[in-house]
Amino acid sequence: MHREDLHLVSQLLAENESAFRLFFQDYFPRMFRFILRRVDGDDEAARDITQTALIKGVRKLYLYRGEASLYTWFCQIARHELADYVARTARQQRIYRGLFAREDDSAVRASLESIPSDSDAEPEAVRHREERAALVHAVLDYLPHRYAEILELKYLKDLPVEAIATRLGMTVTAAQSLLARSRSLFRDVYATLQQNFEDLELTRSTPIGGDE
Amino acid sequence: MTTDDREVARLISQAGGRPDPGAGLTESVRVALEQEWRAALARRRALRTRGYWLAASLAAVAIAGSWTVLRRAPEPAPLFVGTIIGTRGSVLVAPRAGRTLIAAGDALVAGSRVEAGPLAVALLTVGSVGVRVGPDTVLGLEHPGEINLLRGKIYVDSGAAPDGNTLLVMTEFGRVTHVGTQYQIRVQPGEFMEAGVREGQLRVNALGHAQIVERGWGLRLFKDKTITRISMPSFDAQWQWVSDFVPEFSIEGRSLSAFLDWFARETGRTLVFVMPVRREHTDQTTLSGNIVGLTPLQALDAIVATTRFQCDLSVAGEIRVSIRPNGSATSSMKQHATSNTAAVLPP
Repeated sequence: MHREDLHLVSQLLAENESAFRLFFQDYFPRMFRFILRRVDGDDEAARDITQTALIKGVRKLYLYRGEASLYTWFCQIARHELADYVARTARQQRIYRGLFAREDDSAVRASLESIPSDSDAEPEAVRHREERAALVHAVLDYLPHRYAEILELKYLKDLPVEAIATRLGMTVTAAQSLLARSRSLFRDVYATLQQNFEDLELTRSTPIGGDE
Repeated sequence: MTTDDREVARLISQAGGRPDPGAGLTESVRVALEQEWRAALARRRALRTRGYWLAASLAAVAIAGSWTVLRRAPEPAPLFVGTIIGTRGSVLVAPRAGRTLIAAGDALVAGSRVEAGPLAVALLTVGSVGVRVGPDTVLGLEHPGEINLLRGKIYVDSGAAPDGNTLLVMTEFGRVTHVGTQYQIRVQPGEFMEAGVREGQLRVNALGHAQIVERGWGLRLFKDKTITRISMPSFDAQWQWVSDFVPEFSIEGRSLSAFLDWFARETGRTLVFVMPVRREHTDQTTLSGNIVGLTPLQALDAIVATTRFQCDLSVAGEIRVSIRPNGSATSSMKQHATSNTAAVLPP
């Protein structure tokens, strides 16, 4: 049972404005990225789908029972919207498929493959890096807000634990403890998503602790 | 740190920061979502009230032993077409049962007729589109996503995603649909209809033709079927009534930039940062308090007085944000009596 999420929803249903602000600040960017990853980085489509999914979710908040996390619940609504989007754009996809078919023609392929490659900009390597970054971002989005925040403060902003503790309004010991729990949860979610991230088809990500 | 911990650090640092939706996009979605959140809650309240009323009625019927009422075929469920967000002055709604005063949170069902008195204004949502009803206006709501404007004027703000927020406005002169986001329609029965665009585009179907009206322009259709185009700059006096009664905007914890964006949208003006001021500076100023009951202009006065900035409204429709000459917050500027605002400045 996701008690914190249930509490947040009860506050939203009570028209608590602070709860709405917290909800929006936390959920909008995560939902936006969740969708952005699934629409090939199309900002405009991601905005429309995110807005629609959030609005539909907000209309049905009273149905939320806390069995899944609220983020997962909203993601499920977003998946339905994404399915609609894919159906709407199917016609466009068929046009692209014509292009892919031409690219797959053996003569055309031989010509394309004869172009010398630049090892630094190797498409596979670039794709691999981008996919792994997308996976890490997805993991951070799945973590509770505070967990993701402390990991980013530590490893992206390079802040010492003392500064993080000050910023988060906690003791150094509590920050260290939160950091340890966040790393542990990150590892677990990363491992889970790495195996099951079918949406992104991330089949070549490096396992944690593995060799590069 | 263990090998696993180092790996976590490496993965996160190599991945870089998570993509950010951007302040403009975030604000536009927030406005649309907040509007829908409030509307959804208002609809729920209306349904609950209806439920309590129904339960009480049924109990009374049972006590009286009047079983004949129960034998009647049930009335079809009411079709909700909108919600009242707020009213000022005398605003009546006339459903089948008669005319009653309406209040914030009331649901509007199909068949409602809304009448705003000569000094009244009302804020509604029709579907998920925000509608302001001007003084001396009468409109009908027969179907979801449709307004039948019989007299007076309305202002429509469809938010950030116009494609998903469709609204059809029908008048005796023609039909209007929006391709954009902010516009007003005025009807003088038997004389003319006027459609003006503040932001985006409008499509007006009349006399067998579709006309597109662009931002800053209006179209006037007369009874004798003549059509004229008129200039309607987005900050023109013709939009003034719209700013007199605006949906609530919460400033608590929001940045000065967010407030200025809202002000610009509400007044049809363009935000200009005068060097050395940049948008990032106003991003870093956090507001607290509230501006309930203030017009956008009163709110601007009250808020800017607590910051180191000053805002000048130019005749060209700009809001020019610059550093106040003495460079710090002051209480000497005009501050509205009922305002309660403060700004937290960056270090």
